[in-house]
Amino acid sequence: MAVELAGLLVVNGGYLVVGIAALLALRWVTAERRTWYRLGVAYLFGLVIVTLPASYVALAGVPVSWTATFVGLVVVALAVWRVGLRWPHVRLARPTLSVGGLAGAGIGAVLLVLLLYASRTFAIRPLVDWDSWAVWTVKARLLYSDPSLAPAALRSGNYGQTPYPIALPTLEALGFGAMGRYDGTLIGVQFILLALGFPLALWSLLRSRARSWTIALAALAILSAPQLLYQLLTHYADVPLGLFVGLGLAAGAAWLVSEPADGWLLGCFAAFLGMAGLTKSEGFLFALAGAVALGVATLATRERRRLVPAAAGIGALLAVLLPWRVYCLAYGLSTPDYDLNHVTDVSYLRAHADRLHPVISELWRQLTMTNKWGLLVWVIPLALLAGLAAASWRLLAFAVAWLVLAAGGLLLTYWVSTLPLGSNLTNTSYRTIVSLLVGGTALVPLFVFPRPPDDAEQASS
Amino acid sequence: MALAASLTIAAALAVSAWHNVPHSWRLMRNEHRDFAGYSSAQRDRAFGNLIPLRMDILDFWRAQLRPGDRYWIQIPFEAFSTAANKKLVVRTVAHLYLLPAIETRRLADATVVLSWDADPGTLHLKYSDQARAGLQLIFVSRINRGG
Repeated sequence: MAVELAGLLVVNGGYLVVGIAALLALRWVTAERRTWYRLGVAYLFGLVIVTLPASYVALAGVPVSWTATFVGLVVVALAVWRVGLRWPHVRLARPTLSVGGLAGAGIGAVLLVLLLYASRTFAIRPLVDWDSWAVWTVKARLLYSDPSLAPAALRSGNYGQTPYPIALPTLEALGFGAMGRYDGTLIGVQFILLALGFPLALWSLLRSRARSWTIALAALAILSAPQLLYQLLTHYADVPLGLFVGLGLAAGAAWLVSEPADGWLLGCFAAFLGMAGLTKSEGFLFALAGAVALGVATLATRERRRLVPAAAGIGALLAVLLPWRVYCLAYGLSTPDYDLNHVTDVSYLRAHADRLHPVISELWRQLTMTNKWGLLVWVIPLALLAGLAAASWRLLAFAVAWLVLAAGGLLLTYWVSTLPLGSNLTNTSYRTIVSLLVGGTALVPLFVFPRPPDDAEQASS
Repeated sequence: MALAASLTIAAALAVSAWHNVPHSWRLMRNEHRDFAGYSSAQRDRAFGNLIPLRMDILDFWRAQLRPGDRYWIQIPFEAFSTAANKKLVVRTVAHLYLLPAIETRRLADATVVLSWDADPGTLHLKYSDQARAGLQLIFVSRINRGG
């Protein structure tokens, strides 16, 4: 087990290296601009830029490890070409001790201890949950054990729903490759590593406009929620989806209150929401809602210099998402669970309007379960209220637009579903709300005692 | 107003974390306690055993399969639970457990028939090789399509 675990940790170290290389190659981290704090996203950013192409190329029967290695080497080579072999001399500002900074570090330490304690459970808990066995891990093992047969087998319908995207199985397959064998238990470590990467990436994305202690507090409230850690333990895709949605939204919102020409936040917006869109089918909905929300917030502020960068960010996101839709259309991959044509069929919606009340009741019941999620659901509207009071219109437009579109879209998918409400709701409602809560809470630090721009300039220097 | 909302949010986040951390700690401890004693083989079979399904049959099948085999499961229709019939459950467990052997939708595409409480002789196929689990109607039958 030690050798396999070492292999898994090495490949995750590789994601970190690729992420750092990508940030250097894109000049999003430079010595001159003292952008060192952006390295906080490096691990998850590297993981995303390796996993996304690997999952697409796997559809042509190419082993995921080949694509990941190729992409990783290209990114590292690009970084070497752009900055040379010498590590840029980063001049770190002397850290100034502040009450807020100390509080942030203390909260971060509590979170780290909790996640490290949880990691021993993630390493030994077997696959005992239906979807992880029947959908996600089976796709992953298929990609790992027989890449040439995997595309046809995935389209056959035998190995989980055919229109489910395969970013998470690709990540797991890369893990199996690094371990040297399939191990459905030990791959749990990959899931806790995702959780470990989240607070650092969130801090990195929000740091210029939010206070460290509020970011740490929001991350702790999210990751310590019992339902979040439990669902992550099951190897289901819903929590990884929520984490990527949260980071994508944080990046988009932070860009709206930052220098528009700086592409790194938009790059992270496209990468993380793109990963979300290829993690689960509803991830496509949440990512698309993010794209629309960014467009709405940009247009609403009538700030001309944001239009082109926003269009570029949205375009990059769509460029990640759309090939999967094209692939599904080309092979006629669809789910029997719902027909999207019903979304615009008023007579169908009217005929099934009796589904609305139980769906809303059940989703709300899940959202408000304090023993599972703490007070997250109440924190989000309070943050919007704070934004309203502080006249943070851009952030407010973005957050409200995303929440309305994402929640409305989720409601609509239950409304048009062909599955009987009873089992469908019970089996999924506790999971589909994860992205709403994580995504909403990831934006909260921007509304709570926001860091003024002048202060932020000092913080990044 | 913004200050009041910010203070309330910070308090709500802190209260959430205050309650969540011990709860999640206990949850992780309990899950660890439940599974820490499992051997590697027990972890492999945990999903099927918890259903519960006879994993010795899947072990028998797995021992006879080779990488690249395409199997078809022969099993009579039987009620199993309110949510699924027995064939669906067996096929679902087999999908992951029997990889890298792959299930085919059509018998005509299969190289191996896996039988559970069923007689492969009733399929009227020629077999090049066959293994039976004792006297049970549990078989692994390698199809001879050479004519």
